[in-house]
Amino acid sequence: MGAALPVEAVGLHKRFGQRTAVEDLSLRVEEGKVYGFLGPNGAGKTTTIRMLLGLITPSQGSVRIFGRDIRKDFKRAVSQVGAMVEGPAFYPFLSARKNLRLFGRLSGGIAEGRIDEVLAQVGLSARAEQKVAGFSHGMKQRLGIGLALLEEPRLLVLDEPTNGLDPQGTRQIREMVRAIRDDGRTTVFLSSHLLGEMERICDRVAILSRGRMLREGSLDELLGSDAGVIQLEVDLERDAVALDLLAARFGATPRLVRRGHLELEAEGIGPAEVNRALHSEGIAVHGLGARRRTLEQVFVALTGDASDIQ
Amino acid sequence: MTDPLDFGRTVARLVRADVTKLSHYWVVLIGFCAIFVLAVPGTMLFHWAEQAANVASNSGYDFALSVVNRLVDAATPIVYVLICILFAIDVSNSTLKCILTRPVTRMELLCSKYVTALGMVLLMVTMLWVVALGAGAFYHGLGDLTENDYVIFEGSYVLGQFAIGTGFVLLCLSAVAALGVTVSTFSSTMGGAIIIGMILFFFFDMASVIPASLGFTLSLGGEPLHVPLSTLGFTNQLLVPLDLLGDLPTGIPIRTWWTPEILRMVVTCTTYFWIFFAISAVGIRRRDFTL
Repeated sequence: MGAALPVEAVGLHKRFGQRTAVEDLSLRVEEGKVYGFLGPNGAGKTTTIRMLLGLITPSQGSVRIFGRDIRKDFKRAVSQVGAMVEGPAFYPFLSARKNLRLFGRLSGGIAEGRIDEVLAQVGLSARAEQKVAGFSHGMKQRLGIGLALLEEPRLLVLDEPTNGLDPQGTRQIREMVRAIRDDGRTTVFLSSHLLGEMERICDRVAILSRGRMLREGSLDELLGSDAGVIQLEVDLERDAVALDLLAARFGATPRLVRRGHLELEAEGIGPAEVNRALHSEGIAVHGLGARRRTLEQVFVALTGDASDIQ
Repeated sequence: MTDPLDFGRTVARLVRADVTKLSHYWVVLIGFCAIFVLAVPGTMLFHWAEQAANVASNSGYDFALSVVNRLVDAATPIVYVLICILFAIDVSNSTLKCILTRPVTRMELLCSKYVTALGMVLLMVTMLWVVALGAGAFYHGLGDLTENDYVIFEGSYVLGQFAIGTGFVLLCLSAVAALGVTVSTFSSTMGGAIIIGMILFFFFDMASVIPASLGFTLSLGGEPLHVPLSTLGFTNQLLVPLDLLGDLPTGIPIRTWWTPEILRMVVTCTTYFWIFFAISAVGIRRRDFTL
């Protein structure tokens, strides 16, 4: 028998009155990986995380954390988890250090040295004695991650950790998650609607929409080959003609990225073929390349909606 | 199976965390300052009123008892409101999710809130007695209880009886605290907790007189009785042991604490305590914390 999985959810359903927030969701998160949980706002990501952590009771289904049922063996299941659910939360009238100490005590106490270590890790050593009420959103977010890391958990659950952060803050958190992953001791379960970020740091990804899991797999499985998308640069005034031609010739739906720049899903199509097709119609190709599909493209293809994602 | 030792340790940790945060929270600090501020001028006003009426307490004990009798009624709603917000502090700051995602069961969390609430009640009663006895000692001295220089009760006896009476007062206040924790368990905002809490407090305060004023009585084979229905309200039952203590300055010793009134008070308050505990336990177990 293999080691228990950090997260194993089977047939999760959650209904709030008549509204179904999560429907028949099953998850298997493997140890030592960064697992991305993607979906637009309202997809059911946070509701799922709340069920995984025992904050709410599933209407149906079960959750096991490291092999322990979250309802029946809550304390032991959750003792190996560090979490930040739907934003950081602290007592604003206490300092960063006192907040960490207070929450650390709930698990049996935490050494002052570890608090210093975590504060340094999230770059808040200089602000340790300041009240959290005066912290910026980014600082609170970092302290929230620090709190989740405090007891050196085997499973780190971060719900939208980059929400509301500026690009620099987002990068810092990305680097932090990468460092945790590289350390290899902690499995990271990360929810976000920032697809670019997820693509950079996740090993496996699940895509959720309207409470249902649409697709789950490794990034390679989801994004396909390295040449999944052909990028073209044609004459500005002829891009519309090129679009129609590519659609008619290859049966695909090319996309106008900006004036003169096209992209085409390249399932079974080679760049040379595309070049020949355009050239034969007298459309000059100024640039031609192939790249992997982005998570955003996969997401839009699956959900047909990109309004909430970035 | 829950390990009682582990349960106790976790509850103790949670209580310690509560004490840390409450001792830094201005609303709670103001609440306890208000009790102190209420108590100090209250004793002074009482002393001036005695002087104006040309009556004087027999001793510091007599004076302290009269003061506590008056102040406990005013201080109880203040502490009760603070208890009502015990959970709401965590819900409104969203910190409840940080607590509930740690190895802490909901039952342990609830029990810790009860312990904290009882601690707050104990602190309130202690504050009142300290101020009252301090003022009693200042104005009259804390010697033996005398009547025209004749010692009717020794000081140690009076203090012992005060301690027993305070124990019964604390039992009633435990039921009040249980009501507060129950309100708190179901509240998501501090404002909501305070409003619902005060409505329920005054409901139970009035509940003791409503049946009688509506003419409802219980007939148990003999004379119609108002008394059993009056125990619907429990918040003012704390005056029962204080009334009994009030006999001491008149020279009547307390031969037994188990009078029918005290027994009724004990049964009423214990019943209410467990009813509220059960409601709050069901509430916290079933509640979805969508914070």
